[in-house]
Amino acid sequence: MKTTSDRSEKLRDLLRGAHHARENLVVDDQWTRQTLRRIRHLAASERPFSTAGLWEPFFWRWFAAGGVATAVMAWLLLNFQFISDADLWSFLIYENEITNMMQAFLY
Amino acid sequence: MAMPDGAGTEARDIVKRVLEGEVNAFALLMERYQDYVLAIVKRHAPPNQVEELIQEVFIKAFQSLGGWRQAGRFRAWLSVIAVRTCYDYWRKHYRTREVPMSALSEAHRGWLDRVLADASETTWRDITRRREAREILDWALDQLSAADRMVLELVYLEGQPVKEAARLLGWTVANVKVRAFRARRKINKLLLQSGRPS
Repeated sequence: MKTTSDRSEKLRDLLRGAHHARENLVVDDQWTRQTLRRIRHLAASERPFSTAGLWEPFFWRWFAAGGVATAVMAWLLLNFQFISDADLWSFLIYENEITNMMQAFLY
Repeated sequence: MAMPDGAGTEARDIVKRVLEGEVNAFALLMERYQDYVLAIVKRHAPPNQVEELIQEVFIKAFQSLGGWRQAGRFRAWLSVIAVRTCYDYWRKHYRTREVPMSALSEAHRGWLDRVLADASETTWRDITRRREAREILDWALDQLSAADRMVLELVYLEGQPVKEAARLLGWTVANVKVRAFRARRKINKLLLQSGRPS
């Protein structure tokens, strides 16, 4: 009578053997030629290395960020009315009138 | 059989040539390591996918050649790419596969029971090469997740040290231990207990 442990050991050996038997699968050599062809194609299609190429992703990232920043600044400039009266502004700062300063800035 | 590359000295020279633009030198690396990589892929991938996956392994290696840490062994670096390529294949396959067969067929179960009860040591090697053995193995592995499948193959079926399996898969040692234990228990339960007449 086989014990569970014996069966478990045998099962392991069976599965191990079947697993390693996979290595006997015959594969023809065509894949080497295909792989080399794909690699040559890849190498040829890649652009040559250049400093400009290195900075390109950063450029587009900063270009987009710069565009957004410019739009925000333009919106602020168009919508806020800046105080032209320098005396009033100095007075408010001197008196530390934060609320009035904010109101003067926004309206 | 592929030659060992020592501390990667000669491989380093070839890699350098490839990185300097001599693409054809990559053929030397392929020639040198193809048997080794092929053995890994054959063990971890279905037969009809072997050619496709081995191409993928070498293409990935070519594309990330600049990232090879030259102090390490090239073969070890390549084995990581091969194992992870197979793992990626199974992850994709499991996402799109149909529901696996819920139970082992009666014919297979009967064959397995007979083999486990009677097979002598002398016939064991032949038995493991039988179609039934392969089909039972495929069925059992199909019941596991992609991660459990890979870890079970590496640790339980190939006898790789846990640390090596962790390196190949990019996991922690603890994760490999836990997964290997659970996957082994599941396989044993599937093949030794469930479905047997009580």
